[in-house]
Order: sequence, then structure tokens, then C-alpha cells
Amino acid sequence: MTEKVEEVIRYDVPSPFCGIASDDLTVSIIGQKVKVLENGDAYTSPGFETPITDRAPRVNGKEVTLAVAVEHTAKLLRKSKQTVISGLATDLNGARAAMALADKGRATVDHMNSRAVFKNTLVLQNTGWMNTTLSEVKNRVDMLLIVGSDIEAGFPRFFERIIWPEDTLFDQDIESRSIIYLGKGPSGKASTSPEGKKAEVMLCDDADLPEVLSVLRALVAGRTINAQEVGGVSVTDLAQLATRLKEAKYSVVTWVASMLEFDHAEVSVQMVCEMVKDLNIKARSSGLPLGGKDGEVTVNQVAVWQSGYPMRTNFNRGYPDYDPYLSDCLRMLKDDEVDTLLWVSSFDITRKVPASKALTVVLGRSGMTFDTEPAVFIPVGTPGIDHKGRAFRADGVVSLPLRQLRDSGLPSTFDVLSAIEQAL
Amino acid sequence: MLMKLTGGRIYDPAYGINGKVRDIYVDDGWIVEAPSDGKVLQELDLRGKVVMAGAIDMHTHIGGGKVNIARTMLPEDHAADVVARTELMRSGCGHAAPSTLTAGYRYAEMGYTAGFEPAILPSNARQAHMEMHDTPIIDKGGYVMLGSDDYLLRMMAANNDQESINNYVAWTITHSQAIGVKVVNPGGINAFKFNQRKLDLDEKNSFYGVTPREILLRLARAVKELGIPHPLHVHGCNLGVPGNMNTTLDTMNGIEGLPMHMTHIQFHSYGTEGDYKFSSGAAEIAEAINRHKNITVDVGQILFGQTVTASGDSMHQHAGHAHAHPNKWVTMDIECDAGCGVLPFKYKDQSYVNALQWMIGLETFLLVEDPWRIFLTTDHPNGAPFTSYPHLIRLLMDKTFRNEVLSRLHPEAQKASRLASIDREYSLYEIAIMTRAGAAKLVGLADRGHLGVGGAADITVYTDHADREKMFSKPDYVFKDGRIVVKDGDLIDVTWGTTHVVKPDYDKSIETSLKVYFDKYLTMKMGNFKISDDEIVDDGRGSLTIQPLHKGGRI
Amino acid sequence: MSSLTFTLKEVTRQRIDCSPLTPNKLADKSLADIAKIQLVTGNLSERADALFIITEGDSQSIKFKGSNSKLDFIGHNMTKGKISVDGDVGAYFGIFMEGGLLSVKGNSFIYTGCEMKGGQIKVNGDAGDFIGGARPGRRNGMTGGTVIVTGNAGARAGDHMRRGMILIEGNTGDYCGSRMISGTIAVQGDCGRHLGYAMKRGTILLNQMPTRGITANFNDCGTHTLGYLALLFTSFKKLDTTFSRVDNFSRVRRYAGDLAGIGMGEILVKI
Repeated sequence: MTEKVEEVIRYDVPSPFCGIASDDLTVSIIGQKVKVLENGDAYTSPGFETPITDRAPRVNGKEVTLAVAVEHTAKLLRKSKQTVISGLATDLNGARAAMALADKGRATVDHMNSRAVFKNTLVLQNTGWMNTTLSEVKNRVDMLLIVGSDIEAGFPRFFERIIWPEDTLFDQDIESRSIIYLGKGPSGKASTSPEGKKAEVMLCDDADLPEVLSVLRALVAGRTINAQEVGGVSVTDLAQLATRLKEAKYSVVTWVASMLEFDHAEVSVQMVCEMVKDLNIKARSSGLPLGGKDGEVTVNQVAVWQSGYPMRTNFNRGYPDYDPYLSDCLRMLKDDEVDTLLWVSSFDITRKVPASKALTVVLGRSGMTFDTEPAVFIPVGTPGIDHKGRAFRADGVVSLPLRQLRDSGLPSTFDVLSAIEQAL
Repeated sequence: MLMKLTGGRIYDPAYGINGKVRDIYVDDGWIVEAPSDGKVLQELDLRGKVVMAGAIDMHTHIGGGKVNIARTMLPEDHAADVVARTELMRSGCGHAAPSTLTAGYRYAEMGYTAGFEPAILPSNARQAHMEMHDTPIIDKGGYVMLGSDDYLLRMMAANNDQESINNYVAWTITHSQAIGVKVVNPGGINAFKFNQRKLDLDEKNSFYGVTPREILLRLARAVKELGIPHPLHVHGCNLGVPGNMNTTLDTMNGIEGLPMHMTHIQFHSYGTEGDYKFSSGAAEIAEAINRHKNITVDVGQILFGQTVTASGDSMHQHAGHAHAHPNKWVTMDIECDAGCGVLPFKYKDQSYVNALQWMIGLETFLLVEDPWRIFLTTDHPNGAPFTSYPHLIRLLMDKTFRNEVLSRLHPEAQKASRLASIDREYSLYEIAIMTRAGAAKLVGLADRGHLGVGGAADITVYTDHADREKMFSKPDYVFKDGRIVVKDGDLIDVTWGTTHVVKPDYDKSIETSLKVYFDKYLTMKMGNFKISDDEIVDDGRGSLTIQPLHKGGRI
Repeated sequence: MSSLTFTLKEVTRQRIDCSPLTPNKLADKSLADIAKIQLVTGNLSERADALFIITEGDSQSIKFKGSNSKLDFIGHNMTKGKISVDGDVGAYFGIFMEGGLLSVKGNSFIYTGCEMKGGQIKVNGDAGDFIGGARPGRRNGMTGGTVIVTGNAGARAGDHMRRGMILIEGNTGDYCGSRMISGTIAVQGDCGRHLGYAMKRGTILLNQMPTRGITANFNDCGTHTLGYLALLFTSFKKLDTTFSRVDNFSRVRRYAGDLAGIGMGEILVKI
């Protein structure tokens, strides 16, 4: 007797994949098969639709029970003189369990996207900023300055959801919004207004962007710049931009840290944030750092409230010790300082475990592939699909409840890390 | 398991007990009657000890986005104060902005059994509850911020009736899982987004044309009509501005007798007299508090040293950014809902202004007559970290000590204050009112803050040291829900407290228009905005305690 | 009397925190006591004599032999005496130093002279990023003392520097003098990109125009004769660096910036 599996349709499903936490998805679930029917995008749809393949944990390539895999991991951690818990592409409770385990196991915590995230964190810790959140931008922005980033490549629905709404709270004519790219130009048409107004583009290379930003800030401050051009951008054009920023009612300066792919980009981010503060002497202006994927905001928030510090914190000495340079997972792996790497990756199946000489334990999404089989692999559920959860959005303030869409039987990252902590 | 606490000197103002020797019986987390057969399984000898209910901090920034921004911003604050992991306690750190686990442990070790986050943004409520969930031992809860949110101001601009506003307030408090309503710089956080740099009590918000006074009246009325025990909790206009004492007096006079709680009143009690154009308004403010029986206040005492100010008041935090020490700071505009501002700050005893601020706070404590209407806070961490409460209690109870500290402060400030001439010393009974019985009544906790039968067994036991700072820093015992969690000032057990909320009725039809509003104008669905009870329970450590509304509290 | 010597027994996988091994902290300690000192490495700590062969000697003149780039915090909080390192050193070489002499034959890793207040550090190889810098969240880098690098410097040399001198005989990486508050950086070689970025005050003294020129956030203030440079060169004469043999000059082209901020920093290029 075969049972017909009913299709279940769920509405207003939040996406943990898209960074801006679009929660207007319509999703179809038939048994274990999930499909995004409405409002998906290049990150969200594959995120939901990745099928479950492996279900069994493996130790050294051999299938074992979860209990065996957990005990084996605990054994590795007990004798490890330097453990790094990283990847950390997980949700609220996965992050909580990771922090508890790091504390007990004297490990170092880092996130797979830290290289990008720290371009913002270091600025917050040094001079701070004046930032805003997505709903404010949606309703107020009259000038959007996009720095060094092709937003739609990383956030396909950003313009549709945030910049081109049908109505705003303050009766703004959407067509009057100015979009200006400084640095990289747009790869598509998302920044073009509904009536066809294209964004303005002032191109310059990443290598020149820091200097361009410094000159722009100087022009906002009313300084005279002797040079005629900087990084191929005319100083007169930058001066005009500075004037327009000062005249805007609510300018928003945005960037995607992961797209500022040059060393020491945090100093450029700082230049932008200080410029925003200068603009606020007379006008209103706000920064909007975009990111939020792979649980990067969630994990940093949890680490900060539980330990005082964000990622790249170690518990080597029995208390939290923060060092964004020494406790950088990728650096530690490259310099072969790590005995055991515990890598958590429950969202994006294409993210690879970094290669290293460390013994590697992976809590990964089912179907994840490896260049080298790890010592332990435990397939875990994806928050927002296989189990309920909570995740923070790019702007750091808002978090959403994630749904359970199917009963896959896969354990959550929280379950597995808690079990490992118990076993330690 | 029935335990008898024998022979302690009880200070239980909820029942008028002022130092009488009585036995207390505890069973299964609650205070119970003496057993008829006299049989107890355990007995604790408390003869000679001072016994009070567990202390309640009714205004402390322990959870939410702005607190976490403060933590992230200040790695140097943490490095100076690290806490190593023990068998019992997770590691942590932080002096001004401690990690949540460390905060819970420290509160318990100080005899506190509950703390309330006073500024929960509806759009950030989920995070506030996450952080409070990770705060051990103490019970928690919070007040949800309204008054700068577009939805309310729009309703007021359209002259919607009081009932529709009540509905919205009830809906918000329910779905943010809060126990009270807060308003910060009414309409001012909102006005700053429109580039207004100040907003006086009767000044109009440039977009909605609504004044702070009007906002206060509407919200205070809503709170009263809904039967929410906690009065509207008000962070008034013009925080920190010299001369703002007049705004404060005006605010009290203009609330039409409705219950109103004015928070960190010290920051709102400044005159403009003298060479520094900064003077104490404490006497006038205290006189007004004494006269207006519908007003309650908490002081927001400052104490000297490095701390961080974290507030919803983006307008005034931005205005004061030049005073940030160290020179870094954050403001945020948030979700057409509210905002925040975080500025590290150092209070210096040789600064005229800071010294006078210290004096103003103490003057206020000592000049307000009714201890049921004034509460002990430092607006943690804005005035000082909460770990300074024992020091503050000593200042209130020991005039000699107080005057000795006073004499070492900026000499001109001393001359500008009448503090030296105030002889009053708080009694243990009054401290118990201010930190227990009165606080529980104010917040609306029916089963806490007292030692009567039926109350939760949150009990703190002290040795009666003459040095009150020593006494209040190291309780002999702290019971939380009947379990001994602290002995001799050290944590011996870790438990997890409950989240106190109220759930006033509301007309469900409000959700029709709210849903449309969320869909059209915001970036999150109404359904996903709401915080379910399950989220509070979470992994099982959490629980929800629904406190009763005042009788007749319905819309 | 010969130096108290620490010879690394073998290359360790984990980094080693050598902060307890300074003239200040080892003064008046017996060899047995020194051997017992716990050094944090990875998530545990080991006795000093488990990691090093310790040869008795003058605790005010310490030598490290067989050192490598995993030995961190050498010279931590030092106020007197001498530490010479044979090999490379790790991070935070001379952190918080107030006096004395610190030298390494090879290269140093990040944060050489981090928040130092006095004394002298000499790196005879290349130095890593953030020479004289401030730790994350802190706003003041070095406030005194001298760092001499005979090789090349990494990026962000003098970041948040407040006072003191950094002398680089080779080339510097990108962002030399970033966010400088005050103090002096002198470079004989070439400079990387974004020289003086976000500089507030302070002086960067160059032997020649950088191959990439000066960025647009600095205005050319023309040529100047600066008398005070003579004093600077005099101070170089006392130091163990090729700067002591550089011909004095006082004619420079002066660039003021970073104009994005208060713009009172100066880049001085020898004419």
C-alpha cells in the first residue's frame, strides 16, 4: 500500500540564505522535497532546494552511528592542544552550543566569513558609526551611494525589496531616488528604477578606492583638493557628489564588505563611516553595511553577548581572549598551528572546508563534498528547513524565526555540539 | 523539600514587617505556611541575620541590540576584567558592559533575583529575549519602547481614538513579550530622523505635527486603561541638557494625574545657574515628586569611573558625541520603530559637572520622602555598572561616609550642592522598599519582592555589617525559587529564571491593518515579527510567567 | 657575566607566549624558579624548561636561540635590560616596552613595538604589519621609544602611533603611517600604496619620492627648509642604524594631509 504524499504550501517563509532575510517566500514541500515557488533568488532557491543525500555520520570514511561519531569527536578534542571551531554557518542555537563547547574545550572560534565581517567589526571597535536598518532605507533614502560593491550580485532582491517599493511611509516619489555607484558598477539592471532611470556610475579600481574615498570625505568637509583626478575619477565630479550628499535629506552609504576584496579595507570602511558622521553635522545620513549570510551576524552577536567578544576569540587560557589577527582560523591553519578543526557548515553546500594538516571534524549539510575525507563527518539539518531556529539579518538589529519545513530526522547543529560538549 | 529558615530578622515592607524575628518556610520553590505537624526536612539557622526578599532591579540594560553594540565596541573594557571558567560558571568578562553570563552570576552574588531591561525596541525584542535567556539565575523581563514608532505617530496625527491606541499598545506589549511600556524622548528619536536636533515637550515633530506631551498622555492613558501595573516608563525630553529641570517639572505637571514613572531622573534635573551654567534642580524635582502622588522615579545615580552610555535616545546621544570617552560611538536609526545611541563615558570626580551630577542623584534620593515611589538605579551601565549598587547603598545609609566622599570632589561643585547639609540616612526598611517591595509593586510582580506565603522563595540573607557596602556586596545566602544559589557571596548553583510578562486583551481585528502596514512599508512580515511563547521557553531553560493586570483592565 | 639563554628545543606546532621571560620578571630568580615558569602554548601551559634549554646567566641580558616566528610577546612590559633574539620572532615583539634594548637577528611578525612607551627595538630582518600600532579597540599606539628595521616593513607601520620614532632602512608596505596621531616615521627605501592614509598629525620623512607618488588626499605645500630636521638627524646619530650615516638635509617638499580629517600630518620628501 503506497501512501500519497500531500503537498504542503507554506507562506511567508523566512530565508536564512539571503542576508537581508527575505521572509515573503512561498514554499512547496512534498515529503522531503522542498521547492521555492515564489520570491526565491539565486541564493535562496538553491539553499532551500538542495536535496538530502547522506544521512549517516562517518568516521574516517566509514558509516557509524551519531553516538559513535560524537564520542570520537570528543576524544579528538580532549587531546587537542589547539582546537578551532569554525565555519559556524549556523543559527542562534547552533552558535550558542558552539560557544559553550569552545568554553569547555578551550577552543578558538571563528566564522567562515570573518575576513569580510572584520572589515566592519574593526571599525565599530575603533571609531564606531552612524548606521541604519532596512525599513528606514526603504522609506527614507533619497540618495543611495554604493561603495565598491555590485550589490545585486550578492543580494539579488535588495533593490526590489528595499529601493523600489510601491509606496513609502513619507510619500516619496521613488523615481526621485538617486543611485550612485562609486567603484564597481552594477552587473545587472536591478538598480534601474521602475521607469527606467539608470544608476549613475563613477568607476575606479579597488586599488584606488581608498584614495577616492579619502578625497570624497575631504570634499564633504569643504577642503580644497589640488589634484584634478583621483583613481581615474574627476575631482570635480567627486565635489559634486559631496554637495549632493550634503543636500540630501537622508543619504544612505552602503557597501558589501565581502566585495571590498583588498587588504586593510577596514580603513576604507572607516573613512566612509567617518564621512557619514561628518554629513550628520548638518544633514542626515546613515551607513548600511550589507552582509548577513551563512549566519555571520548571528554568530558574532551570540559570541559578543556570551563572551564579550566577537569571532576570533580563543578560550586557551580558560577565559575569552580576543585577537583578530592571531586567532584567525585561516591563518592558523596555514601556519599549521591547529590540532583539530571543527567545521560547521549547515547552509551552503558549496562552501568548502579549508585545506590543512589539522584533524578535521565536519558538521555539514547533507551532500557536502570534500577534497579530503575528514576524520569525522556528521550530516546536520539546515535551520529553517530541517528544524526551527532563529537568525539575524544583515543590519544586525532584526532577527527572524526560522521554520521547520520537513521532518528529515537529521540532528541539528545544536544537538550535535551539545552532545559533544556533554561527552567532553 | 520543606526547609525552615529560623530566626532571621525580617524586612518585608509588603507586609509591614520591619526587623521582626520570624521563621520562614520554603517548599518546592515557594514560601509556605508553617507545617501543622512541625516537621521539616531541613533547617537553616539565620539568627542574627538580616533577611529580605531577593532584590529587583527595575531598570538595567542587560539585553538587546544597543547593549551588544556596547560590548562589541569595547574590547578594552573586557580585557581589564576577565572571568575564568569554573566548574560551575562559564567564562566571561566585562566591567561596564559584561557578558550576559557574567552579569547574571554577579547579580545573583549581590543578592538580586530579577532584572528588567528598560528599552526593548519591538523590532529588536527577539534579541533582547535571546540575551536575557542567556542571563543565568535572575528573573527577567522588559519594557517595550513606543512613542517614536511611525505607526503610533501616524495614528495620533490622524486623531485616532484612545481605544485604537490602546489596542495597538496591547498588541505590541503582547507580541514583544514585555511587562511594561517605555517611551524614550517621546517622538524625539523619530524627529531626529527628520533632522530635528531637539524636541521640547510642546514642540511638534516636523512630519506628524505631534508633541511629546501628547504622546505621553496617549500612552499613559493606554497603560492605565489596559490595566498594565507598570506605569508608563518615561525617559523624558531633553536628557542631559542644562535647564532641563523645567521640562521635567512641566512633564510631571502635564500628565493629568495619570501614573507615570520618570526614569533616571538625575539626568533630567539640571538648572543653568552659576559660573558653569549648570546647577542642581534636585530640590525642586524632589518637591514635585513629593507632591505628585501619581509619579514614581528611579534615580540613575552616576558614580565615578569609566562606563558606557547605551540608550534609545539617538537624538541626544548624537548631540553629546563630543563627550565620548574614548572617542568612539554609535547611533542607529531603526526600522521606523526607534533608534539607539552608544557612547563610552568617563565620570570624573574633579569635573564640576560630573561631581554635581553625583550630588544631584544623592540629593534626589534623600529629599524624596516616600521610599515606595523612588528606586535605586544607576541606569546600568549609563551612570555606573550595577556592581556599584552596594557602594551606592552605603552612600545612602551612612552620612559620614557620604560626606567624606563628597569632601573630595570638585570644590566648586560642593558649594553648588546642599548635599552636605542633608542628614537623612536610609534605613534597612527603606532600602528593602526601594529594592524589593516597591520595585515588585512598580513592575507588577505579584509573587515577588515579598516574603509572604504564596510568594516565590527568592530570598536574600545578609550579615548586619556596619559597613553597608560590605554587607550588600556579599550576602550570606541567596535563594532563587527555593534553591540556595549563593553562599557567602559566591555562587554555588546555577538556575535559570523566568520571564515576566503581561498579556492585556486586544481586539484581534487590529491585525488586519497591521498586516497590510507591515507588508507595504516594512521589511518583515507581521507574522514573523511576533515572538511566540515557544521562543521564550526555547531549549527548556526559559519559562513564561504571566503577571496579572490591574482589576478592570480591559479595552 | 654571560647572558641568561633560552634555546628553543624544537619547533612547536602551537605558538608560545614568552611574556614571562624578561629582565624585569626574571630579576633575582633562581635557575630552578625560572625553569618552573609556566608558558602558555596552545590551550595549555608548559614549564619553561620543557620548551627551552635554559643556560644560566645574567637575567638582565637575555638571549633567545633557535627562535622562530611562533614565539610571541618577547620583551612584554620590559623596562630595563636587554633581550637579543637569534632567529625570528612572532607577534607583539616589545609590546608595552618602557625601556631597555630588544633586538632580533631575523624577522618579526605583526605588532612589533605594539603600544610601546620607551626603549629601543631593532629588527635586523623584515618587520611585519602594524609596527608601533595599537591593539584593536585601543586608540593609541606607541607613545615613545624607537623601532629600527634594517630590512623591509610590512603594512600599516605606525598605525595610531602617538609619539616616538620608527626608522625603516628598507621599504615599507601599504598604508605606512595610517591613522598616525603624531610621532615620526623615516623611510630610506620605497613606500607602498596609501602612504599616510587617515593621518591626523605626525611626520613621515622620505629619502626620495615614492615610486607611486603621493596620493590626492595630500596637498603639495611646496618646498621648505625645515630647521628642526637637523635636530632629528642629530638624534639618529646615537642610534644603531644606517640612518646615523645619512647626510643631513633640510630642504624638503612638504605634503599635508590626510585632508579627509584635520590634515595636519606631513610627508616630507628630500629634494
